[in-house]
Amino acid sequence: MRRAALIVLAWNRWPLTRRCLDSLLASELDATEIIMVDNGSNDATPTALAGYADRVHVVSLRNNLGFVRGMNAGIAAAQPDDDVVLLNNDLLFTQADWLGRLRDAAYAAPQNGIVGCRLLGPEAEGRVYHVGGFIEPDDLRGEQTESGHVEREVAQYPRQRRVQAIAFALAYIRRDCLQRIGGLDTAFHSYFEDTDYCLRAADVGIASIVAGAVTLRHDQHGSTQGDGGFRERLFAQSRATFGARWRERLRRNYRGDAVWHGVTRFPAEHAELARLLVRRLDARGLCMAFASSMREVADAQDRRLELAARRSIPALPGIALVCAPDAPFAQAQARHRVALGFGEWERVPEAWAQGANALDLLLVPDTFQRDAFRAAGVRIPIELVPIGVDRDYCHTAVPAPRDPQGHFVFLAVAAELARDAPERLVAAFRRAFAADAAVRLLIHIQPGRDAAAIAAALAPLWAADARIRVLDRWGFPWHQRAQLLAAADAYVCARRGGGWHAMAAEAIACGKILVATDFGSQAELVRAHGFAVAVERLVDDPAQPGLRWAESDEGALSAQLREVFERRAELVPRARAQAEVFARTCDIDVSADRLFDVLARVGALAPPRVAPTPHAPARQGQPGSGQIVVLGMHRSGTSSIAGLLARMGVWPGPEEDLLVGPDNPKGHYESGPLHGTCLRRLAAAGGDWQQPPTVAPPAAIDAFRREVASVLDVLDARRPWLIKEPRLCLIARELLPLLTRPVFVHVVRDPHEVADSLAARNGLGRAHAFALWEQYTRAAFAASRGQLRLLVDYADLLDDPVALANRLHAELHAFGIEGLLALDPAVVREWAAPPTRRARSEARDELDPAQRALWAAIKDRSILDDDALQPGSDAREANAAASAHHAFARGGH
Amino acid sequence: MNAFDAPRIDALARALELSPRQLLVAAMRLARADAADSANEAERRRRALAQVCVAPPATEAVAALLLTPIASYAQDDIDRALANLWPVLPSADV
Repeated sequence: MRRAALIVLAWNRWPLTRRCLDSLLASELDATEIIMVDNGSNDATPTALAGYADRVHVVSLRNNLGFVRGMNAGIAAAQPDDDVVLLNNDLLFTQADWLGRLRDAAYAAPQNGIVGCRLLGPEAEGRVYHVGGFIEPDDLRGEQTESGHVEREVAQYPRQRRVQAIAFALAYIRRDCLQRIGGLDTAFHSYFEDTDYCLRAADVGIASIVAGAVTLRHDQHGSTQGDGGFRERLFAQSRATFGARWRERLRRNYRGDAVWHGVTRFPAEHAELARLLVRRLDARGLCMAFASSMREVADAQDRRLELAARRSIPALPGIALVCAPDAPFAQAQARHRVALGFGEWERVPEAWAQGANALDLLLVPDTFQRDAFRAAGVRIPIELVPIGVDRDYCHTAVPAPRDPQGHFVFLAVAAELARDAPERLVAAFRRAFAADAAVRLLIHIQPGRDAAAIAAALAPLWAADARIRVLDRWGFPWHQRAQLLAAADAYVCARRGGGWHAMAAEAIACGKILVATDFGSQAELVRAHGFAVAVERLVDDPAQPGLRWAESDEGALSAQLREVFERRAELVPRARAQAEVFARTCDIDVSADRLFDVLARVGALAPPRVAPTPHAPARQGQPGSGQIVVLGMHRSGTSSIAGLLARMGVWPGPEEDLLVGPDNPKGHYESGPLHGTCLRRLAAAGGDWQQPPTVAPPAAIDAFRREVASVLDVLDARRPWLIKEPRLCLIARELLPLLTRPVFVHVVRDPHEVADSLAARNGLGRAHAFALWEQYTRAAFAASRGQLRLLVDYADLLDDPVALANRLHAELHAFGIEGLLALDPAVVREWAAPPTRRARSEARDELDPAQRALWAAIKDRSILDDDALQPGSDAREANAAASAHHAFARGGH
Repeated sequence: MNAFDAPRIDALARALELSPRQLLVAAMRLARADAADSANEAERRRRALAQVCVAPPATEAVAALLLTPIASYAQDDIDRALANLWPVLPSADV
């Protein structure tokens, strides 16, 4: 059975190593071996490690060989089939199930070869030092966060995501990836070896991933402090080596250049767009420069934006994109001139339109803005680029201090007095609620030109009203912006202006209730996802006579505030439940993809480099190890095929463990302990085989792996072996960390026959049966993607069992399974004889389009292509799960 | 620069058809001017205002900084602000 070799490298500083080891040993370490590499220590380390000899395999090196050679020594000491986890000795394992969650990430997709995690520094208040990062060819400075800055812990980057590189303070490396690209490159003594490794891996289609579900503490170079400058010299040397190898390669990743004309400070919306999009365009292959459209004290808060601001701007750049207040479109001087614009009114100023007509393309975030520019006379092409939400920072788990008295909190933000109308909101709030109502209104006055005027306007309104709290001109780091939303229950945007406003969508993504004026860029959003406030009338903007924006109906605003408050028991949990679904449909990375595609087309960028084929274990030419997993929906013939395999000499496990039941008098070839494990796994997640759970609690996964490990330990005494249990279709992916080059045998049967059998045996309705078949089938094929796998059709067993058996034997042999017995045709026919033989039903079609397409892919075997079920397979699996759940709830009719 | 001066400078600048930064630069130049020129105050002012349009970027940047409220560039963790907003509940008597 595959394990994980946890390799800890240490050089002196025994107290640090001891702290690391003790916390490691106290965490959940199923199926592991700890390898402690003593890198030539001359303090108490060698002697003290002897005290851990019963729990730790110690590899003692006579001299300090450096990080790379030290780690490679640990890798060499690991068992040949084990995954390896490289660990620094200044880590603290503050999360008990860290290894289980890393395993989840490593086996979530065949190409996930290298996995890191979130790392906090030593500070008590929690600072995030690593979430996976990048390196730019300009500075050759490896950054360990996407912003390049150390940030306060606000639960950012909670998801699993692909990154350019991770730091090898902690690195889970799958064995098949280690076999593909080898160990760490000894051209590096220390430093840059991790980025080099991740880039070499990417060259062969191996992805570096960060498991957002894991957060540990790392003391940051704790093991090399106080070394008299030795570290700096090593760093410089490694940097030179890395630069010689990668600098030009990284430069060639750029397909073109662009300059972004914008701001980094005020107004907030334009600054936010610069921070959100400049870094993403750079990462996608556009070498970005940044020019401030107005004189400001720059406040990039993002390394790639800072770098862009330092880059020289060519005399005639490829693309210029203007995204700045007051639409200074004339700044776009380039071969291709683009702007991303939005205004506050139903028609933008004429000067804007004139400026826009000198561009090649105008981009707007929504149809309101498109119409506003057209109404002003813009004649050039206008394309929509909806701006999504940064899900890495805006989600439902952002921490923030809440009102300890449990009041319902409405949040509003004011940056411009006339546009944001904070005084109308305060008036509406005071009209809506009695003095003793359990509500609060929190207003953040953003620092800026209008801040003093806003504070002066509001002061007489809230001074004597304890329900209204004002955050007056508090500037905070941009990465903390979602905390403002997290501190509230609802976000109110009662502005007159209709410009794009990031916080409206961010509020929904954070699980907050949105109340907003039914006007402008937020109108569609609030109508679909919130409480729209009717417009009383359109009025002139006093600063732009002739241009109209909306005065919200104060009575309607009061009414909406009251309704939200009165229905809060229903609305608050609903908003939280819908947040994730919303955020998936409104994702800033999708926006960045769209923007990049538009700019690539407009700017005629160089074609992209051909991406390497995604890595898959099955493509490495290594033979199967003799571990066979039979997958198939209930009533699909899995017992029949398992019995056939058993007759080929594949061991199903001890006789006394195998289940026999009335459904299959000849035996299920199903391990009783495995069956019980699967039952408990589904039950722990709140489901069963008829109502599969939709979530996978980490504790349930870990318990499942622990129990299955016991079963596999028994089986591994005799290979080849098989396991078979239909429920495994739903949870097979969780087995992968424990298996070594397994072969998956997918048993398929016409879903109509499956439905017939489920109706006869269990009384299941047709719709429910089909939905279950789809869910089991998708999950099973998704789990085996990238692995050695074959497909067996139950119909072929009925039609010509001998031919089927011969084909199955040949395919397993081709996969390198040794020890298979040649089958006597008489034995095969006897096995396939009734009662296993069933009457074939006539051709029917009761499937929905998605199910029909799935069955067609199975019939033509295209489902075995590694790209099948991708991209979007997670969504299809989720949809199938939802269909099964609904079908069950409806009674399956 | 306090919270009251900035709007006043803004208003004065608009009246003179200058940007606030240009106004500060002009004020700086006027303050440095030779006292012997005080007899021709109006001409001095005219020359100073004409010169602000060609003020070097560094001068304008300093003026920009003066006009930027501290709150605009000083940043502190938001949860510190939020914690200050909510009342501290009285602790129960033991």
